[in-house]
Amino acid sequence: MAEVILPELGEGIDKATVSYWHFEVGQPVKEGDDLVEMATDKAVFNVPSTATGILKQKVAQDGDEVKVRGVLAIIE
Amino acid sequence: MKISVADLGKISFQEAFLKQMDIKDQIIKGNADNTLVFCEHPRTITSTRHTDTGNILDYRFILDNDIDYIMGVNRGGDITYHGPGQLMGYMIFDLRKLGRDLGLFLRNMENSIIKTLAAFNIQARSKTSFRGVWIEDKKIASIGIGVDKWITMHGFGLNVNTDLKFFEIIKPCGLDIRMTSMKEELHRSLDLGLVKNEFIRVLNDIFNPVSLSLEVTTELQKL
Repeated sequence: MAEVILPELGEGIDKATVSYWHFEVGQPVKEGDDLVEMATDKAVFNVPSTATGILKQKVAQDGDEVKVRGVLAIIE
Repeated sequence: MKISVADLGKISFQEAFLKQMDIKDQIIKGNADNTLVFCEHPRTITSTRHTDTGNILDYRFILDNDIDYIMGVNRGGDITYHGPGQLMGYMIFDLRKLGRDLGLFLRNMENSIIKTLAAFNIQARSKTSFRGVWIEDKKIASIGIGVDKWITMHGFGLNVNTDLKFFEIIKPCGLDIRMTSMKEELHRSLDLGLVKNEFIRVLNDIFNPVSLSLEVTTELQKL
């Protein structure tokens, strides 16, 4: 099991909002695939999957605000 | 760190986007430096994935005046207008070599715009709660970037001589705000070349690259 977390984003950015999931629960994903698009007030960026497997759980849903280092998804 | 500067002149939003994608791919492969692209677009409205369609106030005007409308742009922010007289600065930078510090990159971009404006005796600032660059309650520059594999795309639009009436057909950035321009603040039109030169000078100060190469051409010759 692997957790996908929101990485450090640097100075002054401590959270981001889930903008769009590129995969659905139950779908296979490969390490490095863009898993979820996140947004701040000035930027959008993709968070890649950290493992190859099945997207087991979207911990954060569309529109949820997630703190840096917070868990976004579980890959199994 | 190295920075290349390319001036694409008057080019469509779509064409500029394709150029950015090329540059991004070359940066990922290690074949290109961080690149600042200057250009101007024909009259174009762009919006992002979550733009509320209610932020378009006059669809009929858009259709009747052949204004391009591009939806789903992969950048931060909301709906905005681009057009002649607005200086677009697309900053395709490799954040993997800048500490992956997205916040600092955005602050440096904003400060580059603010210091450029200061050179023309325009006092501007950023606001904590609202993106962009402001003169009191009026917005003079919009900022929105997309990041893919830690390479940035898009950047800013600075109203130099922009015809501000075209902002009235939308709710810029999804906010009830007034837009302004350097022309409006200084009561005279400016040569975009002077603004570009000043921005490059400021960029050199703020980002402090090892080298800053300029390609003032209508095409990126390396790509």
